[in-house]
Amino acid sequence: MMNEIDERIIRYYDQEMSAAEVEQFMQEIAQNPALKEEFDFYGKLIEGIREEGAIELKEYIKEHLQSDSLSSQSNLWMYAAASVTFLLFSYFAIYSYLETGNIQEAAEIITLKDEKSDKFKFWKRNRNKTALQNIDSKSIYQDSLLALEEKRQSDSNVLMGMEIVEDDADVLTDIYSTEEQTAPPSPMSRAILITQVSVVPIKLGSVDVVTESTLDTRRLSKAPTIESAKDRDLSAADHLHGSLVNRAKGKSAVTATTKKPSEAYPAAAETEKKLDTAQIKTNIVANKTKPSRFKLMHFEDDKGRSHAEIVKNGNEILISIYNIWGENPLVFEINHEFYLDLGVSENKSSKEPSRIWKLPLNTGTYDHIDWVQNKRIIEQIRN
Amino acid sequence: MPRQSTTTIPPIERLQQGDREILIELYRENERMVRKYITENSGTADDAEDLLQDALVVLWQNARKPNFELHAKISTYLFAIVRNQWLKTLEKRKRENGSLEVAGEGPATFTNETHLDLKIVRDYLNDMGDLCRKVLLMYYFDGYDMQTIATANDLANADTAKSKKYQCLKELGSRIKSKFHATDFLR
Repeated sequence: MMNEIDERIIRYYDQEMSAAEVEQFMQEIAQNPALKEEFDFYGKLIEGIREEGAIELKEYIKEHLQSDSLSSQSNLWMYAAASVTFLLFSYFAIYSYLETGNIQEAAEIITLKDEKSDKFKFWKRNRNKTALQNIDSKSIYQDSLLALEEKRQSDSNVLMGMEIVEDDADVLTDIYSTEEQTAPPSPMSRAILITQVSVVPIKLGSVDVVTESTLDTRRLSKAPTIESAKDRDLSAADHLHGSLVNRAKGKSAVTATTKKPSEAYPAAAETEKKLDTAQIKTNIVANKTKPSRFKLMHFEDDKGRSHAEIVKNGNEILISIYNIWGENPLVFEINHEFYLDLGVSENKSSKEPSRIWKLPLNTGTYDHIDWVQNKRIIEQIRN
Repeated sequence: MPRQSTTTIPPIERLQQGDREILIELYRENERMVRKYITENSGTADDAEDLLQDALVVLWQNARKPNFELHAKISTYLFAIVRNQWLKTLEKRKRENGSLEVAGEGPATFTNETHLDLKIVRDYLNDMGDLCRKVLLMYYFDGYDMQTIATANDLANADTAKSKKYQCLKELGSRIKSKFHATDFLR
């Protein structure tokens, strides 16, 4: 059995004794070494308990001060990141203003309303991207579309011709309509419509097509000289609305000139000469009905791979592409063939396909998109 | 009755209610003043940190004493504790330096042994059951009354808490005595 503690020791340390009791107890301790030893021992125990409590409380204070410090440090990082982001946006806005002289465009950049910012808006990617065709983007291009529509009507006879005439060289129709149209029922019923745009062909230039009767192949013998639109003063094109001019500058829309091929491409002239020597019969005209309008729709479906559908409706071609994106898609006409350019991928490795599709103008489903590999065609469109 | 928001309760009441978060707030409010005083008086920032924590511990313990009355601002009270403690520390360091020069390591050894003894008590306390440890700390360190200790530990009443405290202290003493002789322990 454990020895009981002298009750007076506990009462002393718990401060339950009266002054008289304390005095009497102290006198007894002074005369009783065993009692003094017990008294000192429990005094030590209580001192140790108090020290443990103090250590624990100080640890509590330190821990909370450290967590507060870490929290304030993480806030500092957040402020720093926000400042850097703001500076970057400011930089791009100023750069855009200096580049285009358009304060509205600069304002759109800093408010993430510009077209290029859309690809960063990850929160909108999985939604129906028709929402992207907002009122702002409509208003930007609305006037331009009217002008282009008029131009297209007036130039329709040229589209049937074989030769590029001088005046037609400037007929560049970088058409990008955001007008909303109801998509026709798609066989890919589970697909999600992402965007829908109307595209009118750009006439790029005349390229002679030579048909080698023995081989039954078609190849380009010479190419026209291509001039980038940025080399000329687009602001003088009074039939284009200002916003479209800026856009065309950014895209480097291309136009054909009327330089003689032999002047521009000596190598092509040499090729032509060889072909003549081989008595290749040259047929130039492909008597087709010219499409008056292209409509392009982006879809995403659960198949994941890229595929496409073409629906022909009179002179209107409806293109539905699945699971592949294109920034500012454009249709180019080269020698009466039509090419859909989805733009250069961000991943510009040499193994990347050209992202230019020679459009089959017949209604049908295309499980595989054969990207153009002809370097000259790619060069014409991209340069 | 709904609990009052801590922002409207005076700090001293929060201390008496056992709200430890007030210690962090008081530390933040006073750390600059204490650091300035200590670093300008031969101390370091670490000294200032330790002293302010010690002063908060003293305030924590005193706030619950029945006869505790605060007639000044808490910051004044804390600064007074810090200053007194720092003067004692300086005096002690001066004394220790002098002793070391004359008699080597005498005083330092004594201090370490005393500290070692208390560490033994703390080790045995931490080896005890949670209830005993909590009851002993709440009574001897925090200074809570028996009714509060009973409520906090699901004990029937204040008398039960008092009996438990007695048993726990006796148990702690017995465990230490079984390993150490009292005279060795009390060198």
